[in-house]
Amino acid sequence: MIRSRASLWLQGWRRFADNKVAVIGLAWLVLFSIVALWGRQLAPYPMHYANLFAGNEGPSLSHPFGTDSLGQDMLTMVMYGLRYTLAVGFGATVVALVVGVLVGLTSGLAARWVDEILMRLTDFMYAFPGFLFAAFIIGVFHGAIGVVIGVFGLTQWAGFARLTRGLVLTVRHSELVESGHAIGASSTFIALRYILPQVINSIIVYTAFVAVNIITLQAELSLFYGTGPALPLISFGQLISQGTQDVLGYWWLLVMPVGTLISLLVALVVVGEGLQAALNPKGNRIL
Amino acid sequence: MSALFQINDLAVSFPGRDQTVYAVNGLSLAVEAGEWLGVVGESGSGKSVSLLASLQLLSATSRIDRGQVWFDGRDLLRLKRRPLREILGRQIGVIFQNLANGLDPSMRVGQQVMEPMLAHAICTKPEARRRALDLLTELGLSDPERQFERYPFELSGGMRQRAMMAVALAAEPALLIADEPTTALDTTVQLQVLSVLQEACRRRQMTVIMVTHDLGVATNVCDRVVVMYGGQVMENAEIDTFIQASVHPYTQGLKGSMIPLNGTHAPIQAIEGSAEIFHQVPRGCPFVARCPVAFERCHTERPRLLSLADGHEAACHRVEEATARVG
Amino acid sequence: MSDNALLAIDQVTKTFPWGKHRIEAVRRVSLSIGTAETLGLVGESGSGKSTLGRLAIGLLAPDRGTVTVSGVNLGAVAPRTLRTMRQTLQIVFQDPGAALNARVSVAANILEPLVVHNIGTRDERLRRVGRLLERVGLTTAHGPAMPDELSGGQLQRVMIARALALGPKLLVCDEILSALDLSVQAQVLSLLDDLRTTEDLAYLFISHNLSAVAYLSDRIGVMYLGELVEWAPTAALVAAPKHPYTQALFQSILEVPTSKAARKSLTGIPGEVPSAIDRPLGCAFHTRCPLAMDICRQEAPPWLTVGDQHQAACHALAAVEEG
Repeated sequence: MIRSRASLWLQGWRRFADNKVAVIGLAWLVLFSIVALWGRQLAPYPMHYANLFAGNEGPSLSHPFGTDSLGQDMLTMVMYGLRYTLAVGFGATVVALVVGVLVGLTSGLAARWVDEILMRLTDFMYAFPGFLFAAFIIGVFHGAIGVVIGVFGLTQWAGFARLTRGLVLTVRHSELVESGHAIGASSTFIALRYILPQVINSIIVYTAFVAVNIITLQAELSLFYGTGPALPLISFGQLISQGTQDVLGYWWLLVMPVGTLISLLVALVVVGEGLQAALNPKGNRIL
Repeated sequence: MSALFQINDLAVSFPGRDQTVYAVNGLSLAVEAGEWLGVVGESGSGKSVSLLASLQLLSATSRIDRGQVWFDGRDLLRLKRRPLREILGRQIGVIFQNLANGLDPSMRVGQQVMEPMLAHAICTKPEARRRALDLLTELGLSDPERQFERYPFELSGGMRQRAMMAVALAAEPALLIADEPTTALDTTVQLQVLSVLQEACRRRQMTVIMVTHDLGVATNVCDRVVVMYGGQVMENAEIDTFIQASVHPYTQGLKGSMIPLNGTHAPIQAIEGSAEIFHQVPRGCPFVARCPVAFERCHTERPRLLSLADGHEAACHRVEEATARVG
Repeated sequence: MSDNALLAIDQVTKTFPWGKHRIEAVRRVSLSIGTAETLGLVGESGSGKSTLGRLAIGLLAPDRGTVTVSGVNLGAVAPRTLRTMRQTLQIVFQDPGAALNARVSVAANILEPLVVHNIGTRDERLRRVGRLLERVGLTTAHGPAMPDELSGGQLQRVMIARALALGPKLLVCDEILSALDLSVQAQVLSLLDDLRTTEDLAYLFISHNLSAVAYLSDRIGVMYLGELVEWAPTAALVAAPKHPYTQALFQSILEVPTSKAARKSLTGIPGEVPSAIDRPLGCAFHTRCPLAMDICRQEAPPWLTVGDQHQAACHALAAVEEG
């Protein structure tokens, strides 16, 4: 009499899977994640392995992305760059997500004065010169990866907080929430069981776009620091800033890292759009 | 007598990703000039869908599988957009159940009532204004001069419904199709709105098809009632026959489900279950799963609409066997 | 108010902010419900009946007046105690689709109150859910279903099962029929009728549907614009409604006539319920009342006893009484 039925998530996944472009974007992200996780094993050459006799070579079978002036394999460098970039992007997004959603939930549900304080703080963070702040802190701490993740996360949570609070306000007087109060549930129970699930889809969609922000910000920042000592690890910004110096003679030094970065960002945006269509089919676009 | 508006063997479905919903499955009904026809049934019986489909007003997710809709010598389902628009508003007025659908929120009420007259070039603008004001007054809009300049959201529910009726009646159509016109209103307001609607339509000798789930409304204003279930006609009767001599088990069930208002506490004889959604065209009688007197034949063979007496029809194997035995 | 009342609402007023002002949604209402008694509240939109229902079980707190349940003043207890008291006070809402958790199964929805109050072991809870499903006319097979697989009537049954899970003494039913088809309304009404004897339940049955209220209730209160205007035992009210508004409500019900010729004319009272923002002075009903006199526009009407346990607030009735 009762069919067993696909869960709501499965329905969302089916709608997502219908969107060919988004699926390609997702596959691209999965590929990048594999490269980032097992980059050490997958890279064709060890990091910083230099062959001075093969400097500034164009793309070939042995060096698909070419080599730089020191003879380092560009594909290897890009793979390591990807590893760093994704680690920071993922970590910082998670930090921003957790902080922002907690602040937003509390703000939307707590007493008015708590809401006031939290929203002032959020507004302050929104207007905060995040780039300069990040540049300063990272300079001071010499770009230790934990610090970078923390700093980027803290500059980006305000968007999550605003979004979450707005969504919470639209559902906090719903009959569902009222029926939670009616059975005597505590506020925490109601927040986690009734409210969060109703707002989570929009938050997931927003996450993809915050990740784009963080990765871009990070690339800009390493461009700003250039090859300086602040960033010991290879990042895209570094590769790109080096590449710009040699762009006329050796185009692959710029095109390969830039192309990889752009394809990463495009894949994220496309997946975000796909999530929007799949998880929020009737809802208003949140971006 | 010839019918003013006639639906012939209409079938409408909603194809979905996994399964198709068959909402209307061979519906035929006709309304004669000057008649007030009630179309009743539960939600999901196909009553609204069939009438909206007959005017090509359903969304693109629907599919009209077959059928004709005859009005003024033409098949409305074969008409292109433009000639259809010439008919809608001009010769056929429509009132929706959902208040939000009927009026344009960004346009003043008066403007909207004038619109059908101006769009169909019935009269000049000052004349249209005068007629619109008269119409709003006739429909019982208090202080019509002031309401004329207001936006729909500034009106109360009852006033908005009257304004919507004014838009539907503005071009003096021959036929009015009203889909649950008073369902969303408070009971005391429902009575006023029904009464002005009835007055206005009588004065214009209009033909009315009213879709309603409320037997009390249908029996108090209609001349004839068509009972629908599963997108088909179950019974069709003049009002007195409907009240006193209806025969279809579904009609009986609907009547039995009415809660009496007499202070007594007799058990209510409600129909079991609720209106089904059909993912296949029902092979036998669509009501078979809920019918208290169903037998084998009802599962396998679709009952035909049997003529019982002058203007009284029912689609039921039980009824057919009973009449055959008697006759 | 008698001391043995299950619920006693005394001179309760509830306001809500409206821009810079506050509107009175419920105004000086008093009523009581005894154990296993059914009180019906009838009124149109804006009558404050739903707000009153929420006040009755402590989902809203009154601005003035007291709500007492089994002798305990809900306004004087700590939030935690109030949460515990909810075991005896439950509500069923108008739209079960909106009030149930669409993301978990039917069984999980019914389980939730037991989880919240930490009642029973996992097995005991599951057995209880099975019994509740059967109690409301469903089967255990419905347990694993997701809410959107059920019809409106079935969902309303699930909502009732969820409300019954904690074994309440009072169940507030807030317009629980209005989203349902005629046949399903009748089924749910029969179920409520059944449950009140087996579960020893008292109902506060709130509806705009006078027939349904009259069918189920022992006593009926009629509300207009936040105020109670008449209350009486059901039989007395149906036989002889006294307040002009109650009379208008009865007139506006369209029953199936015995024949086309026997139809009554479609005339009712004029106008609509005024907005609570500019509540009419005196008797709030005077703008629509066929009997309105000068005094009705100035003074609030007095309560009159017009029969056994039958009271109405109306100047015109008072005038008749005196004359």
